Amino acid sequence: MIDPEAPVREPSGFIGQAGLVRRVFSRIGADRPQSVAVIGGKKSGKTSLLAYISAPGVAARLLEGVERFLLVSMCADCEAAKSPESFLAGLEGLLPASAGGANHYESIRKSIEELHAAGRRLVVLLDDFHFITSNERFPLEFFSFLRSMANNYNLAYVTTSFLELQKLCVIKDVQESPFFNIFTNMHLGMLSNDEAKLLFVRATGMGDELAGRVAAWCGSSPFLLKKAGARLAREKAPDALPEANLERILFPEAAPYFEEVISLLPPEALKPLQSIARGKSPDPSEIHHLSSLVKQGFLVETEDAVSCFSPAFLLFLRKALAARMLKGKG
Amino acid sequence: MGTIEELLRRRKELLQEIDAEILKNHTREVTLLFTDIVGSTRFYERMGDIAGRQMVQTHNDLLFPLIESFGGRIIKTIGDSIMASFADPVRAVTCTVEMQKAIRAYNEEPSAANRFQVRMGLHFGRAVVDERDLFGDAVNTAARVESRAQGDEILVSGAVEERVESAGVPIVFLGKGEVKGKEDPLDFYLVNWQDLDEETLRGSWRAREKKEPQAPPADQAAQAAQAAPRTAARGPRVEITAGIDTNRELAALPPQPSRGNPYLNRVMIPHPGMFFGRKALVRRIMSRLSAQSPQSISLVGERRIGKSSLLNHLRSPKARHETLEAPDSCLFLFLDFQQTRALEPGQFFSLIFSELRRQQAGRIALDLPADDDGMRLLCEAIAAAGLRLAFLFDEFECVTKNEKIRPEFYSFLRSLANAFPVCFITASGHDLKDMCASHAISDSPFFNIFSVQRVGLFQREDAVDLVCGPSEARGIPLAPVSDRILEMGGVHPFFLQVACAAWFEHLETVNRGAEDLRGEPTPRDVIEAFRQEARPHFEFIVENLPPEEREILLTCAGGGNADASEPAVQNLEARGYLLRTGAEPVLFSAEFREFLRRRK
Repeated sequence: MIDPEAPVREPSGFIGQAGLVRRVFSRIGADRPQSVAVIGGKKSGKTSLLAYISAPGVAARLLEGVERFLLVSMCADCEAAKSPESFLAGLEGLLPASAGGANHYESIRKSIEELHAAGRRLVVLLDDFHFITSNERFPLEFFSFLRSMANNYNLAYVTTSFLELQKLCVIKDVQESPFFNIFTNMHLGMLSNDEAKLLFVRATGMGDELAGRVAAWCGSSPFLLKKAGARLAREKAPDALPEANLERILFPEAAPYFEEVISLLPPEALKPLQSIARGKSPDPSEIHHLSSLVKQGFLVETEDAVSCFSPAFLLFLRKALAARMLKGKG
Repeated sequence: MGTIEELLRRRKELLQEIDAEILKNHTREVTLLFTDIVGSTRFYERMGDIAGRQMVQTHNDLLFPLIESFGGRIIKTIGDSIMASFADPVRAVTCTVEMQKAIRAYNEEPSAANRFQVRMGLHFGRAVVDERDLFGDAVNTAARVESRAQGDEILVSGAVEERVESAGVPIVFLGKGEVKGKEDPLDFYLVNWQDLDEETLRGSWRAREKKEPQAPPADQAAQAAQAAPRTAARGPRVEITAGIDTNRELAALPPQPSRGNPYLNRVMIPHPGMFFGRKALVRRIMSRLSAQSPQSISLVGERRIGKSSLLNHLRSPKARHETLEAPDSCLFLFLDFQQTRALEPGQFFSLIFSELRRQQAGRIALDLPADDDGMRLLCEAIAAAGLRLAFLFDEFECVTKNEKIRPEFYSFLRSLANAFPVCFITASGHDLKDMCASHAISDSPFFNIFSVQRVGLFQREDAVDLVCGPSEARGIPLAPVSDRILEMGGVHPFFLQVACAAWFEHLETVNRGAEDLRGEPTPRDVIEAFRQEARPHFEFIVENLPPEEREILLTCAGGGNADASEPAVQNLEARGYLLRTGAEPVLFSAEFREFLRRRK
């Protein structure tokens, strides 16, 4: 039974993003561990990626001198995002006990200091970190503390968020703070064609040829591929489906996801998107409004043109245009 | 059977015979060594039993073979301590020196899993031999000597010193010290294997002895307690316990990292060997610091231009050694105020004192009230010791914007700079006067003590050094594509690092030399990697500019010219977004131009 919504927890089930994974490990394994902000749209596989990175076998393979590293994972949603205290208490609980401090800040600092003195490197993996940066209960001092730890000790953060962290800040001082300077942003895009086919085959047990057809039409989004797989598993002979039927069956699976993606766009992005739906190139001066879709891989940018990543997405845009869904302020 | 007198006499003789027998056949003169890993109990507690045991194993693997190679015999280990004996005192001392050197070499390895320090003590005397073990006063004394050592130290008793003094081993007399269970104080000597300043060592020993007095007998303690006034709380205290030895600090610098992508520096650059450029600015700052009365400087620069790294670099032994006339006479204290925006003056002083204790551990001992008086006492002590103190205040606008701090506070800081050999080197995003909580503060004469130095773009030769040096050292030289890198990132230290990182990563992945790419277009993944990282910063720059300045940049991106005489253009030049290479100012990077062009 394929559950497209469930993150992949087992490393063996995680497919793709090899280049990104390598880059993340090269950063956290640098002479001085470097922080990385992985940015990916909803259902792009951020949580699965973080679970994969933190899996002991994976780190052992990709991180030189892995015995020196301590990787701790934390999800920044719900409880942790309630207040700085709840977040820091959660983090403190993941670190080796220290001699204790007057407060969480002090205790964490001592733990990190001791790890650093012992030649250890700490990597804190923070899933859904946008819950923290977009929460006004987290003051500037909180982020300054995190930055100061990374500046002074062998410590790196790997965060995931659905937008650049800075763009999600609600406090101006935080947004302008140098905290975000410590991060290298990496965008979680689509899979390569081969990775997409492999994921489909592994997840569904269906054939290579069908995998190629599905990936070519839906696009190589891991969520869409699993969604398509789950739907096709209900067909008696999915391999034998003619192209038109395949598209007819899969479009209703993909459309709600595309709709969600479009709903998060700024109003200025809708006008250039209308041009794409009409089969035209958007005005070059408006292309930058589509940058988030380009970064997520839904649009492919060439020198001065932008096109859809899959026929399914183009079909969705056309239908959305007809239904006046792309009408915005732009 | 004789009389009782004869029997007692016989008994005495027998005991003497037995003692003589024991002395002759069951004791011997040995040099006894005790070692102990410093802080191991806490290490076990924090890091767990397995990591702790692993550390002890590393320690054993490192030291056991050395002891044996110098003719020593390991009597036993007790937890993480070693007890060993040597027949030859000279070889014993030489062995301990080699042991400390081996530990230092291990700790300096970048791959060292668990770094540790060991204290060592040696004593010479006669010990009772029981099978493989040794007993007696000499053993106890050796253990006591070791317990008085600190990490990395080798202490020896006078008995050892007498036997090695002619052997050319560098030994420093520290002083006499009480030893539990011994009536007479013992002479303590230090094997100066690190070639440290002798006066400094003795000063440190005296401070240690004062701090750790031997517990007096119970009745003596009671008398002392009675004699002491009831309100004998310790008064304010500042002690300069050790001098500055820049050469030694320089020699003790860990080796420069040697693997991986050297351009991944998104945090403050920690190693002075990885700090590039700013030579003229560093010299200028240090010359102000060396002036008869050290001068305060306000460093002003944009985000990501490298202010924190520069400030941090100033205190490095490399910068001090290269640019200060008297590097051993200047103390630095680095403080980042990012995290502490709402400090009150008392907390400000408290932070200074605690950081001074932490950053200058072993050099300054202080116990001061967190107020003006405490601060003044500190400055007096610095002056009395013939030193000067430079406060390196990063993100100092967090203080000047703090409404809890009143103008009098700044007047007080100014009075310190006027009266003592003290100066402030601050870093901020804008002129401090423009970033004050009130007019009363911005009008304060405190700001008059500063000369403002802009931290701007690199000089081209500094940029070329950054592109070529680290990549060459890691075996993937970027020199053949340095022009392209400079065009991409400009001579901006951050964007240059981003461009170098992208190129280095590409060449490492495709396993090709930059030389092979001459004549080929810049690889797509290099451009993508650069844009992915640089664009959010470009966006931030543009979105936070005044509309007039933004318009100038957009005009330049569209091929138009900027009027160099306009103040807005000059401001953009000062901030490093426009660069004057010829008559007209141009955008600092081709990628920035491309970003603006698309935005336009």
